[in-house]
Amino acid sequence: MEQISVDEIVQEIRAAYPSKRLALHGGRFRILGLAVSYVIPSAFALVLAAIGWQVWVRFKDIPIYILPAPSDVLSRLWGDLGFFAREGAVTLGEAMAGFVLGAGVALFGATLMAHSRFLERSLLPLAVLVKVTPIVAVAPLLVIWFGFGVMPKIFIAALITFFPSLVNGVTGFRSVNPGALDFLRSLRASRREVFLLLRVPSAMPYLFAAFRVSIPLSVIGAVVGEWFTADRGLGSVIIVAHSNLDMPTLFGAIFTLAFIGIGLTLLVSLIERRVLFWHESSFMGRW
Amino acid sequence: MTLHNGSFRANGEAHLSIAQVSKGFVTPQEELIALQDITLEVGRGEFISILGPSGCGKSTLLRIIGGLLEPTSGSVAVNGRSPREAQADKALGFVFQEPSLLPWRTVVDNICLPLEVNNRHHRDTRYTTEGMLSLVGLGRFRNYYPFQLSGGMQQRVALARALAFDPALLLMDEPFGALDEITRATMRYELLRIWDREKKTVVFVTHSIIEAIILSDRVAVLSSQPGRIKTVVDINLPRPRSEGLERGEAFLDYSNLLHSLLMGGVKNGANFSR
Ligand SMILES: Nc1ncnc2c1ncn2[C@@H]1O[C@H](COP(=O)(O)OP(=O)(O)OP(=O)(O)O)[C@@H](O)[C@H]1O
Ligand SMILES: [Mg+2]
Repeated sequence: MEQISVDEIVQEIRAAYPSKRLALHGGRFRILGLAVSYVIPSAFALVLAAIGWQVWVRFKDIPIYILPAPSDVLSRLWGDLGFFAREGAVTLGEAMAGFVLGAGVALFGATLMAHSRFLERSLLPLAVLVKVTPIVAVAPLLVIWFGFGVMPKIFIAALITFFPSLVNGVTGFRSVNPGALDFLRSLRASRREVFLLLRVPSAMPYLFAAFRVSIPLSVIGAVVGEWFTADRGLGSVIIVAHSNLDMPTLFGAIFTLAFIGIGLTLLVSLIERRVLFWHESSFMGRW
Repeated sequence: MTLHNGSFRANGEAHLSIAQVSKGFVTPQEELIALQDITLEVGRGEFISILGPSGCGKSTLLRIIGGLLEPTSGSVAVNGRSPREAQADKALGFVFQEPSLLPWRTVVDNICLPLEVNNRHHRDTRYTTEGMLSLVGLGRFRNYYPFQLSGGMQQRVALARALAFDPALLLMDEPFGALDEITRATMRYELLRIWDREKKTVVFVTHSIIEAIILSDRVAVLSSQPGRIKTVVDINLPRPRSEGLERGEAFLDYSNLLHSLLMGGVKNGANFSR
């Protein structure tokens, strides 16, 4: 090594891994660049679609109780922002509580199952049973059991969230680098240490893949729950507006849900970028 | 140079002794005998290589020595204790073919990993890791992540990680196998330099004849299927060794000898003279 200086090595690495270096040192510019290259095109498409919709509704003279124009929906939203924000917060709260509950139980189960084939074989069929049962069919039952408060909504959101987190958790906890595992075992590391030092971080890519799916699903779960016991939340807003043929309000609720969905997805992506900077998936400009 | 010079016994005090170790694997198709009746002693501070064709059971033997695998019969003693006790004593440092670093940890944190296990913080953790970093020439890269390093640098981190908790016995399984020829040659002498300073006992698995000759005090040649020790060759080359040696006549003799041993042209215990 004597004949090559350290600086030469640095130069070499920088030349060999330009994008990887960017990922670490160019963080801020990267975010800005992504904003420009992703947000602008999608905003452009969105505005174009809204204009098309507006023109079509006005041109065809479609009655507002069938399909309101975007301008009607936006003015309804704008006129009662507090109302939609309040109801949206209720739904979001139920969804997040359900997600935390579902993912928490799933990760606990995955921890047990990753350590014991016996537990995996006995618990997995049960989990599959939960998964294949249509949630919509169970929802009325949950209302009977847990009343008309937030509990049935949280449970439905939790049930929907549960399975992806469980399966990916088990796979993730098991997908460890065999060399790293051998190294820890050669140090006589305890199961707990292997779990915390190796299995949990190794599972992160799998867990985030699950969360990307199950977080939007948890919102769906909360809305479905609200359909059955309509008093609060965007689901109940939709039911009430529907029976009144109040399409602007119904679409306002849908827009709010879409907004919540986008926000949550972006949030997961941002956290994922932070946590998984070391993973292959972060090396490309994926948003 | 005679083959029967080579000995299965250690020249000094035995640090590692392998006694009649056999290992069979039961697969759905057949019962495979990976290792048969391996007996070998390794002296304290000795550098021994295990040389053999692919699939002859080198990794299996190393994993048995390191307590990662139980032999079907026979026994292994490290310092007179079982491999599992040696693990608990933190007496074993493993380096694998792949660096096997934790990609979410920086270079320093990877080297610190063994010090965190069992909460056995050394008195001078920082000092040790700093020492290791400069020993493997990576002081400048302490806060880099593995994906920002070249393969050879990653392997040096793995070496530093194995040395960080000061194990007396280093077990290396083709540590340079994934590297290109140039890096490999550099790493060879880097390892020799480190071994000179640290005075560890090293068991080095390889299928490179050059590597085996340049590094070792002795080379155990394994035959395959079943894996047995064909012979043990003493490498009587002066130390410290340098690259010039690779072009010397003595080196070529050893090279030819090991080559024909590997190719199966030499019967067990046959005489060799030059
Ligand atoms: N877990 C296992 N189950 C069944 N057979 C195994 C297992 N591990 C190793 N073997 C067999 O044991 C033999 C020796 O394998 P080993 O990995 O020790 O070879 P090796 O000498 O290290 O080869 P290489 O140089 O290619 O790394 C091989 O025939 C392999 O198929
Ligand atoms: Mg091997």
